[in-house]
Amino acid sequence: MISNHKPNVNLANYQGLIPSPIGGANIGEHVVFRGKNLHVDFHTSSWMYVYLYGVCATVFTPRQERILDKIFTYTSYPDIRIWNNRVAALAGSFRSSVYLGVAAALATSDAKIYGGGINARAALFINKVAHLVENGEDIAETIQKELHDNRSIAGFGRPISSKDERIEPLLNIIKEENLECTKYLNAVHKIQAWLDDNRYRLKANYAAFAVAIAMDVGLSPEQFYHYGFTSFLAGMMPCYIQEKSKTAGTLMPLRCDEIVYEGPELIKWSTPK
Amino acid sequence: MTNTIKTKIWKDVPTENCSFTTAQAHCYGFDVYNDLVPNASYFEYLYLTFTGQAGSRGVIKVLELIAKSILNLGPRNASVHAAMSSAIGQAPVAAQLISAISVNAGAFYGSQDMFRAQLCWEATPAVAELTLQNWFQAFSLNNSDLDAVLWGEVSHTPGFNPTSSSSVPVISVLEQCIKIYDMPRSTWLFNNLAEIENKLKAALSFSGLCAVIFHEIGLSKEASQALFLILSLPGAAAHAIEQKELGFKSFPFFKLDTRYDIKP
Repeated sequence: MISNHKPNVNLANYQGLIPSPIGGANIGEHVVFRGKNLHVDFHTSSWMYVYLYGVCATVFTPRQERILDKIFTYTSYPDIRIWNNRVAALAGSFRSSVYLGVAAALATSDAKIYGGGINARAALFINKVAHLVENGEDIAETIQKELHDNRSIAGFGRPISSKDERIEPLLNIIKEENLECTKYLNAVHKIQAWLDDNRYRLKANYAAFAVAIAMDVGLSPEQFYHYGFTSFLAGMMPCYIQEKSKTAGTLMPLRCDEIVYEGPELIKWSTPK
Repeated sequence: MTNTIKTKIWKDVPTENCSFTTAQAHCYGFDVYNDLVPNASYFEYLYLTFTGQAGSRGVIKVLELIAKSILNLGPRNASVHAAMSSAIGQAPVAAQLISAISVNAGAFYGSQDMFRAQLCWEATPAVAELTLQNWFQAFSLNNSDLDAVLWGEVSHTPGFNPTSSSSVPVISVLEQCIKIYDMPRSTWLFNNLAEIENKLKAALSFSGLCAVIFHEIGLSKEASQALFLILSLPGAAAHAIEQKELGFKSFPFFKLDTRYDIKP
């Protein structure tokens, strides 16, 4: 019954020194950050520059950095009702710490209908369409398959309102910085044109534009997913802080009768045989 | 520096052919998979893990009662609400549980509140000398400047909820616990609760109940916090799973006061 196989992966080979090209800390001396001296080589760099370097292992120009920074800025909504922010707000109201509350809100942002999950799906799909367009291939079948398999296209459509107030400011930054955003942004326009021609009411939302622009700047879909982890953070913090400053335990109270019970009538418990 | 971990809790006995595979595991000296798993109850193993001791029948029964009483804190509880809010967007289940834990860790009816209440119980005299006066004195815990920064201002008495009238479920469970196991402080609390609640205008919360019970069944403050958080997860998970299916349109969105709006 018990097989005596030797495991496919021998963990003994992973003991000893750990290879770590991302660097490490020589406490009391110096810190290496992807081949650079953290306390010397980033002297004039912003935090966002270091963050992007950490995520992508490449450096970006100031114009590129500005757009990648603005992608975060324009989606930093300090609205305590939004589902990820709400977790931070509840943590503040019920007197948990900012580290716990905001960390949970960040984890919640890995959602399928917004945030990390949507970003990853949108990036992969737009990437696929962009390559088809580049090779002169038809995109209709790919879009139809996506709609058939997932009943939606990530990055197109919005849960609460079809208009997306973040898009125009973001496109204005591209114009201001004279950034060349062609391949992937073009793919977004091609997908939108197909949807419009075929009478779908789905409009490209911020995720589609953000991932397309970021990929035109040089990020891969996976890099966008990683980089996007902190995208809502600036809007989350005020949500936590505001509710922390109010009377404890008073955010979004619900009365007992506001829980609409739809289960079975009251019965006595007995353990089934 | 060695790459080893020292522990009294767990021993890993390797298989003959792979030093990274467990053949047998011992928890505080007991064979886990051949003895504890078939012969000990879940709550006996749980208590052993956190204390290193085999709990008496009464202690284990009390622990089980408490676990059942906080298994689901209900959808109006902030931590359950947080889990549901997390589920609405279809975040991973783990993110939903993290949300529940993070909110339930707070100083308002969460694990930090329970911790503060336990500190107060530790400051009370022996039960024979316990009076309402010295109880109120012990429970007048001052919020330090550091506490205010880390957890926020709290003005309520630890373990008591100023937004609730007397909680029949909490009192009922307290009564059930003291009937099956002799716990002097819990019994004193039960006998004096109405007067305490009337004076505080606040209700004993589940965090307050767990504070005194866990204190009396020999759990450290850290173990108590861990168990409070762990044992209240199932209900949060269940409500989150249900809400995910129901979708965001059936989840309250509330309205903001428009006086803080700006003209674009």
